[in-house]
Amino acid sequence: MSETNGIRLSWVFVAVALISGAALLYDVAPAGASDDHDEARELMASGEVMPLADLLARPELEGLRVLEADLEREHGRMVYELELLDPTGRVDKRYYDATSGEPLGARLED
Amino acid sequence: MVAENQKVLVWDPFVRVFHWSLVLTYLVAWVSAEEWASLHEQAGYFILVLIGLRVVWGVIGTRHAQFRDFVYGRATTIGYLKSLKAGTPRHYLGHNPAGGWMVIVLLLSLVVAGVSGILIGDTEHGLWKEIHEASANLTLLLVVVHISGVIAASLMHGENLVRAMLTGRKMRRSEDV
Repeated sequence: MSETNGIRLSWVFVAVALISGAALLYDVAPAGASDDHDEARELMASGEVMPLADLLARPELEGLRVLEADLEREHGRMVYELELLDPTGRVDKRYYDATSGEPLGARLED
Repeated sequence: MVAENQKVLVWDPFVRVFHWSLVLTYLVAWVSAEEWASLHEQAGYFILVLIGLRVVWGVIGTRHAQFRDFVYGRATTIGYLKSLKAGTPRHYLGHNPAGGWMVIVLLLSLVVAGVSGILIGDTEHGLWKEIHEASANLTLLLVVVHISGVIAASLMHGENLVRAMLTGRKMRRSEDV
């Protein structure tokens, strides 16, 4: 390989490296995104948090559509936040202690 | 024929981009390890991609990029280390035998770190995690030795090897290997 061709091919390798790097960087998820997911799974596995499915199986939630379910840490305890749609079209948010399942209150959404 | 005592291109563009990309990506991987899982994983993949390209380039690349240019046998390497200790090392235009082996060991350590990192998967503890952390730490230790070697060689030969890895150019000497 002549020196000029070597340098030219070297630039091709540079391009491949930089394109790979850019593609990998493009796929980086926001900070914390996967950590939260891992933490939720860990809490579930250790029994510190009840499975969401158990909460949703409750009779009081029958006939309601779950628009959103979040697991959040509020004042040191884990809380499920459910956004529910009832058959009349009303949306409300209900909070449950994620460890005991105890209802913590509701808030009507506009 | 190239005249003696003149600046020549030793490190081609890919060798330089590879070197500094690896430095930056290793730093990113180190800092994001406990903070930002996704960035850490992508950095790890990029390190493996970079090393994959470098290994191919080490076979087909320009003269001083090739493994056969800088991987020396045991006798030559020990001889070089002795001359280094005596303060009279031979000047190599490419990597010297100690530097060459440092390249190999660093790349191996990073490959072990990268592959073991992938094999950790979703497990929180386990053998792969141990191997991953040990190899990442070993790499840091090797980086310290590498930088010390670069400083030592730069001082002994009165040349700036860091700048050479940026510009690609080194002064050729009459006694060069």
